[in-house]
Amino acid sequence: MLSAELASTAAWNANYERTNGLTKDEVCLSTTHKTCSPTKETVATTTAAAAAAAAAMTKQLTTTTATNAASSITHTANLAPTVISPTTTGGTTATTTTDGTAPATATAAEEKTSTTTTTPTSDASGRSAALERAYVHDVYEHCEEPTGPVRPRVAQFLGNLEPGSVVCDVGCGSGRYLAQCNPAICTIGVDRCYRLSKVAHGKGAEVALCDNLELPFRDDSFDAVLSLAVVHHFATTERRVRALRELARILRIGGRVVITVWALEQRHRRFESQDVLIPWQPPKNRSFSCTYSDDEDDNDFLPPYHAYTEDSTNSSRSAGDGDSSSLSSSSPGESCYSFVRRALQKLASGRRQAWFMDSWTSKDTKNDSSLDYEDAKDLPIELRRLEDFEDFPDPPLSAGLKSRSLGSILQTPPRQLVRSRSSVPSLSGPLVPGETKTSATAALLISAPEAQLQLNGYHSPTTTASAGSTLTRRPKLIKQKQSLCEDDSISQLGEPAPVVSSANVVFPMVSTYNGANGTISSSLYTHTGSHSATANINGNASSTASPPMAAETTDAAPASGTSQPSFLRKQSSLNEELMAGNRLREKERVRKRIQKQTSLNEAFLCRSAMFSKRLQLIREGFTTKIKSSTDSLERVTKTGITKLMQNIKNGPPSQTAVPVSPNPQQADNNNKQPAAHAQQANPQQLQHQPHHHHHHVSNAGSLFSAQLLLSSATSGPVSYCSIVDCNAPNICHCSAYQQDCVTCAESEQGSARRHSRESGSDSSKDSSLQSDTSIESEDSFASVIFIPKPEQQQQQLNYQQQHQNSNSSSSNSSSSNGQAQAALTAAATSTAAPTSSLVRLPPTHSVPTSPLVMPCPPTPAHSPAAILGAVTSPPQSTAAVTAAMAILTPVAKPARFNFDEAHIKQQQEQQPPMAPTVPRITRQAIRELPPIPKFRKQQSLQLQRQSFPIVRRASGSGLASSSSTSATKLLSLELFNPATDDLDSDSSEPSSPDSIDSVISAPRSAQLLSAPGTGTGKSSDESDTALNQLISVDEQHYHTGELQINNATPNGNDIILNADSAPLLPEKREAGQAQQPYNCAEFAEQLTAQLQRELDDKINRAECRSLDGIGDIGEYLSGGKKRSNGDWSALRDELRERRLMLANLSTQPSLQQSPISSSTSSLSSQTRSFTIHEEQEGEYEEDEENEPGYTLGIYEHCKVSKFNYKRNRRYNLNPETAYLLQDDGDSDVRDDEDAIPEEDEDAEALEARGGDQLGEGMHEYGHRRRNFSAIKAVTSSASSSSESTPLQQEQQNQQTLQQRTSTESLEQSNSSNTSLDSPSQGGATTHHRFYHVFREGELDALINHHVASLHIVSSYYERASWCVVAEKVQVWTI
Amino acid sequence: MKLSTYNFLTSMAIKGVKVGYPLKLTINKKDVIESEFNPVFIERLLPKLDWSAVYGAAQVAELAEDIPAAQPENIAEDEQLLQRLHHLLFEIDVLEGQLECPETGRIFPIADGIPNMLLNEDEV
Repeated sequence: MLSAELASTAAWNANYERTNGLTKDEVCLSTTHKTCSPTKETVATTTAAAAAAAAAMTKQLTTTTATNAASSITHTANLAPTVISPTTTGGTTATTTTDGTAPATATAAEEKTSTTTTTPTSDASGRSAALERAYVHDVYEHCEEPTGPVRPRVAQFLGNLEPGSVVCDVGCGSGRYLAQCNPAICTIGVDRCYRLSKVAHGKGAEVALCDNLELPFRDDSFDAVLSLAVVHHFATTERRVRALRELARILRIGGRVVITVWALEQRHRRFESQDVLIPWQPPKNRSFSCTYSDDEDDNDFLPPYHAYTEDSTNSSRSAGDGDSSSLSSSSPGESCYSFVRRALQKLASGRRQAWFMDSWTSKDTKNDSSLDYEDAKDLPIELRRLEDFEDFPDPPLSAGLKSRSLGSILQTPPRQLVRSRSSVPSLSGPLVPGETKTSATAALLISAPEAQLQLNGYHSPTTTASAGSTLTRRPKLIKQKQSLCEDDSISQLGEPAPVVSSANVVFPMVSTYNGANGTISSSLYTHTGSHSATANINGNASSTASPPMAAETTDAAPASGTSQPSFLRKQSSLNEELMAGNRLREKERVRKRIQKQTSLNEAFLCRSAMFSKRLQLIREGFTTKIKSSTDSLERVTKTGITKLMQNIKNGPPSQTAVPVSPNPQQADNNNKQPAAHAQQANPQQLQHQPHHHHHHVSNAGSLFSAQLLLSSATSGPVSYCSIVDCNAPNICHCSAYQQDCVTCAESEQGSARRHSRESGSDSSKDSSLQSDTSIESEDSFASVIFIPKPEQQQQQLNYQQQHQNSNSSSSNSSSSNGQAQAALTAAATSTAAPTSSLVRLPPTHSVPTSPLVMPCPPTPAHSPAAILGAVTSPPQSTAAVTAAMAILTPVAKPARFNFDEAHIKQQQEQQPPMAPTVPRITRQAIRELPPIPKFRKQQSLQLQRQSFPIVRRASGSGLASSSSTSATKLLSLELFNPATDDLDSDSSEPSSPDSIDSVISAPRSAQLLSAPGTGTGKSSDESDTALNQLISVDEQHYHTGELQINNATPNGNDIILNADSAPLLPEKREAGQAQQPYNCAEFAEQLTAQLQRELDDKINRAECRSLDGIGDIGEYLSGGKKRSNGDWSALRDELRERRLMLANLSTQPSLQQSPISSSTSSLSSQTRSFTIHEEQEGEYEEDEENEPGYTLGIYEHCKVSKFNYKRNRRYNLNPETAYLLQDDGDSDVRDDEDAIPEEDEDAEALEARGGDQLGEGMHEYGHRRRNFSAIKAVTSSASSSSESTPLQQEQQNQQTLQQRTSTESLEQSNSSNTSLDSPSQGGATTHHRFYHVFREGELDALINHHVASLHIVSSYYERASWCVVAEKVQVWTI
Repeated sequence: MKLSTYNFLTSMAIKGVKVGYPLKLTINKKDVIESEFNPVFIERLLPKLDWSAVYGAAQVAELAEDIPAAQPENIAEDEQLLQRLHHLLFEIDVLEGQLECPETGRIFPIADGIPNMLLNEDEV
């Protein structure tokens, strides 16, 4: 039954997903529903039909579960892979269904109710029974009960009974009320818990084992019946009613029944939803009420309770996801209910996932099916979703009871709708890549109440559709460049057309931005969000382009401008909605940090006057600051800030410039020139920067706004940070900045990113140059290129070569790495991939990637996931490379190339930027990967770590090289855009989650060891994707490691941190530069050591788990992603910060340390890069699901890189838990029984803080590293070559990292530890009990509406419980 | 399980069982626990008991000679009978045995004095 039910639920889920997808889905649902009535068979068929969707769902679900954390993953992994028995299978399916369809389940339930309501709701009942079994019966069977005080009023009731009365205590537990209360009455206690029954029998009480639903007593035989704290354990209204009716049956006419249920309204507890899982706290012993024994009630329950239900989800969506994970994690430790609990957890996770889904897609349906909800309630198990409840309230029996919860839920419908819209695309994305895009676009259209959004959506679709036609985009890019140039010149009517084209281009860029910014709202929103973001970006780009220029360009600009605000608003609204309180808080924090940026954004939103005023103010402030700054360091810092500003400005201008094709070169030249200037003389740079800033400010007011927006997304901040760093280190820093900028630019927008990257550091310079020395641009480019090379050692040479011959450069870079060939191939593949990505040509990616992967496999040491990531990463890397290329190209092709080359040659520094882009690519790659994955895996296994990075590098370089020409770059850009879009929307979501899952799974799998592959094909794909992601991450790490600066840039995600730290960092850098080297070296050693350990662990785990396990994990991860979507931004921020820290640490050590160390650092950087990639991927994916998963993955990666797997788990748990707690109280209850939602939030805040601190520290390290790097430029090159040594160094680095992380990021560690502890506690010992807490009047309503024979005599509140005394009356039916 | 409880148990929860009463009792091990005799309590309890089941329990408990096959009308006046009923219903604790559904033959085991009346999902 259970299995059948589960299958049905799975089918439902699939259907649900489909529904999310759109009308088709709905149709499927309807069909499924119809079939459902027949039930099992149809369900099976439906499930089979929905296999694809189900696979995606499962992946997502798994991902969601993964988000729950490694613990949850382990459980889920066990469950999913094992699917051992029917129950297990059922559990797995149920879990999957629940996960995927928390909302879906609700909808399904509704549907079921409609269709199958009449039919025995086998599924629902089975599920609810399973839930009760797992969370009620088993818990009571295993948990010692504390005997609480006897309820005085119950004792009084018993004492007042006439002598000889026969009383049945249903749910007697330990028999508190059986013997002592009244010796003159005959009491019979029944309970479902054998253990408690024995206890009661030991007391001399008369007890029997039975179920409240099937009382083995004659009718009308008892004078009184007690049902104390029993009815609230039933999972569904139907079952509660049945229980009540059974109580009434055995009661004689005139007899009275006392019913107590836990109250929702309690003084000491606050339930976010009515259906909650409450951890069993041993210390506080209550009286057991096995099935229905006594209430424990009363206010005594110290433990927090997390509501699984909708309310919790609504309130803490972001947190909820994490919470769910935590719940799952907690439960894992427990023995008995594993299946059920797992299933429940999955359900909970599903709910979390479902939140978005349900809220979005299902609300309408739910509302429609609200009537049927009663059954739905039963089926879903309150835990699943609030939505269900919402639906329930309307229709059902206990409408009043649940209605409240529903009402609360309903209150947020509009937002949910919006979310649903965003989520819908994301959901659809995972389900059907192609459809997802369309759906996303449709969602955009729909959500886009604004026609502009629709336009944007159209653009995005068009872009995606036209992805194949990169040519158009290329021209667009050119146009954009031109527009940028025009902007600079502030002339140009061609803008409208360019704007449009740019808008199209921008979309991809935007998508990239979204992906990169992931943290940004856009990422949160997933595709739709991305679309909106893209729209915003477009708007921004257009506006940015327009503002400066375009105040003139009325046509396009205004439209864009108008569209922008709307988009921004939408995003903001979506973000806000998505962002739970925590996220909002985090955002606020970030905003505070990036106040300038935010202000700019706001101003941008306000536009025109506001912008100009604010910009002027900002300019003034900068100028004053700059002027005031006396010390070179201060200057540097300021300049860095200014550079950041400039970069930002440049970024937007670059974006805008892109449309203005002619100017771009100039801009590039300008950028290069500034960079060159910076390189030549730091003071000059400083001066230039300020000037640039000013110029940028003036020119880029719009740009700033755009950048700020972007920066708000985080890319901007990152760029700033990087810039700052660059300033400090001087020219080298500039190069780093450039890289950072590139990354930032990528994150921000394709064009913007490009500009930011090259121009980023350079662009700021460039912008300044543009304003000042715009004409010099080309020469400056060359100079700029040269500069980075010296800074980054040989890389500069490579850059030059690359610049000269992109192909040659790529070859050179690859050759330099030793894996040059692979890199070349990768590059070629990447180049091909980009195009393919645009066209959605996974095979190309995969093919190229495979070679790349081949090198990567060696990296397996990093971790299987890493290997997988490496495998998959190639595409991603290629995409990233392409994106980077695109970014680079748009601004200034030569400069970009130089940058790219420099990045690539410079030790994969470019890779970091690539990494951000990579995620998108990875998504595409992931899609593409499925076939290839195996190869990749194998290759990855074979290949070494270095190879992966190299490949990535190569890919990056290859892209650069391949895209050596502007056209190639343009292609890459286009590719990126489509790829990103496609990947994000379609492949990326599924793939990314998978990849994340895989990543996460690796640790989990290692823990689990045996993670039987549930879906081999899927798993393989997932694993591949995961591997790819990992690889990409590794690559990123390499990049980061190689290019510490670049890492900083990739950290773009961490931009916030950078922004925060940026001002601080300079000072710190100044003070600690001297010391930093040493520290860095130590860190590097520690990091290396840790990395080695982690890699070993991962490898082992990965091997043990096998692809399937990975896939499962990936699924879990995806689920986690879904769950944590809301929390993504915050998580991302934190992750970014952490990553930045890690990257800095890793990079620093590498720089400080010898080449070997550098190699090790590269490994660490790879790990970091993985995290970054994940984050980026998450961002790219934008899908809520993906995002959380990414965040999770990122966390995990970070943890892995920073900490051991355990630490990773902890981190994962922390964020997850925190998120979960915030989002889903229920999950929190399970996993983080100990941890309270608020605590979790605090932990998150702490984590964020710690991340910030770490980020700052990382920045410092980065500065040190940069210094070292400048000194050790040669060593870095050597380091890149020396792979073997890296392990040792990595170990050292790891150790150092661990130490540092432990010490520096005490907060993080604490938070992580706390989270870990909480989950661990919950998992090991905590048992959760299911409660349906009754609202005031709910029980009365139940009795009055459904138990006609009972007449309520009195109803009162006592000790946290609602108590009803009812008398059985004769019912005459005529 | 005391025989007073036995008097209330049925197997009517089983799917397809209409009455399921009285259950066929088998006593493998029993214990006698003395308890305070309250004639009023027994007297007021009797109306709520099914005499046939009481008699059946007495037969199984090998106390049939003490219990009349048919319920006497003025039982309240027969304190000796009430005493015997008290002994039968409240002092005999069935520790091991089984209950059998008269209609389906479903066996409900009695272990440690606790009858397990739980049904499988497919039996409901």
